[in-house]
Amino acid sequence: MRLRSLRQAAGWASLTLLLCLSGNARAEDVYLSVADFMAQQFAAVPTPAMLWLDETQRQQAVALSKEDPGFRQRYWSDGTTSAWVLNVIGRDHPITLGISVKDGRIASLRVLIYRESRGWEVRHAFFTRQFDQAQLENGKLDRSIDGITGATLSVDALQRAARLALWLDQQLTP
Amino acid sequence: MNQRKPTRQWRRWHRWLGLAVALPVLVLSVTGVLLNHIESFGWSSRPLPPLLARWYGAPVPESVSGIVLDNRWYAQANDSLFIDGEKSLYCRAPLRGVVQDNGWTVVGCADALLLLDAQGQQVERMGPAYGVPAFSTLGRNDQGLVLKTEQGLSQYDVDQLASVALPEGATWAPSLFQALPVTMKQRVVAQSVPPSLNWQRLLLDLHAGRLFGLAGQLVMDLAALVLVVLALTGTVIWSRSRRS
Repeated sequence: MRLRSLRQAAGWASLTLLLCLSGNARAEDVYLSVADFMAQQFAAVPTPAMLWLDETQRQQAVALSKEDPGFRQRYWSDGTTSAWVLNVIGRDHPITLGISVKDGRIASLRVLIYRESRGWEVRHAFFTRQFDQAQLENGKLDRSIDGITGATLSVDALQRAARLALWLDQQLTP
Repeated sequence: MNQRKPTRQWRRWHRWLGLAVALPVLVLSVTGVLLNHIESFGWSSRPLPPLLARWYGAPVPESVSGIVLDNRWYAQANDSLFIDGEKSLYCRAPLRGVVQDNGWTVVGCADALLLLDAQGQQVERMGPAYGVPAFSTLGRNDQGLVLKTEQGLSQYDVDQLASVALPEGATWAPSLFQALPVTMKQRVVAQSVPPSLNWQRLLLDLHAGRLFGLAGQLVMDLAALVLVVLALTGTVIWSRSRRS
């Protein structure tokens, strides 16, 4: 009888532990590598260059995107196309995005790595296609982006990243 | 006489039911009144003390170790980097090391390298997406930054994002972890409590019984239902005593 209760208790303890661990588990889904994203954007992938931002530019970037890009940002550029790999916080963790800009408009926006526990639907093409050809108008995107229920923060993060990429591209032209 | 006996039974039920749910009803009432005026309490949005937050299940560390470099302490807790005890940038656990390289401070957070300037501000964040190899420890030698990977030691250039394998037995100095000074540790631990885990949340969970799991919720549900029964039995007793 005592053995049975012990086994029962152990069973419940294992189940609880399993539930706790699964609750804390954080998935990191890599959908596309930087190399593959760049290969999709350029016929011949250029060597990455470095864009340096001064304090004023950095503050402008933070005001525009609520994301600190740091003092330097790598980018790939060929002709009028520039491509950026940006990290934006969704709810708790950064979402890594590949964004290419051609002639001041977004040519492609792709989710490369997603780390949040929910909201991953933003990686789908039906959602990211909405950003195609979007451009900056007075610090905002020139179109409204349809949200996804349950992914509000990730949707917001992608919009902020799109604004940041367009703004960064503008900094390349003197 | 026949009419008075059933009234006594109503009274007995009323008394015992009232006694049985006295404690949960007291909690319900007090927390309910407090929640009703929660906006006027300044303390309601303050994070819970670390001990309570830990009991809640929040990943609040008990001990924090850090790295001291150029008289600055670097520590990591709850997905944040702490510089001299102040929460600064996103940094996933574990902290792999902190070194000086080419005028920058390089911080290793899980699979990413964080480049900071002299003021501790972010210059660049580089992760696996940029091709940074998976590394377990970070340190330096005469040439600069060294990463310890599964394949061995690599000299790593944060500007070119290029690594060169070092020969086996190459000399290098990995970052050394030390126990944080007590007051700094307390500050780091206190700031590790998620802001959403505040006194308002505690009151809400106490009110709903969620603080004690499903059993607590059921007790509060039962107390609320018994309150309805008490209202009915009270009305019956009142009407009967009025008639008599």
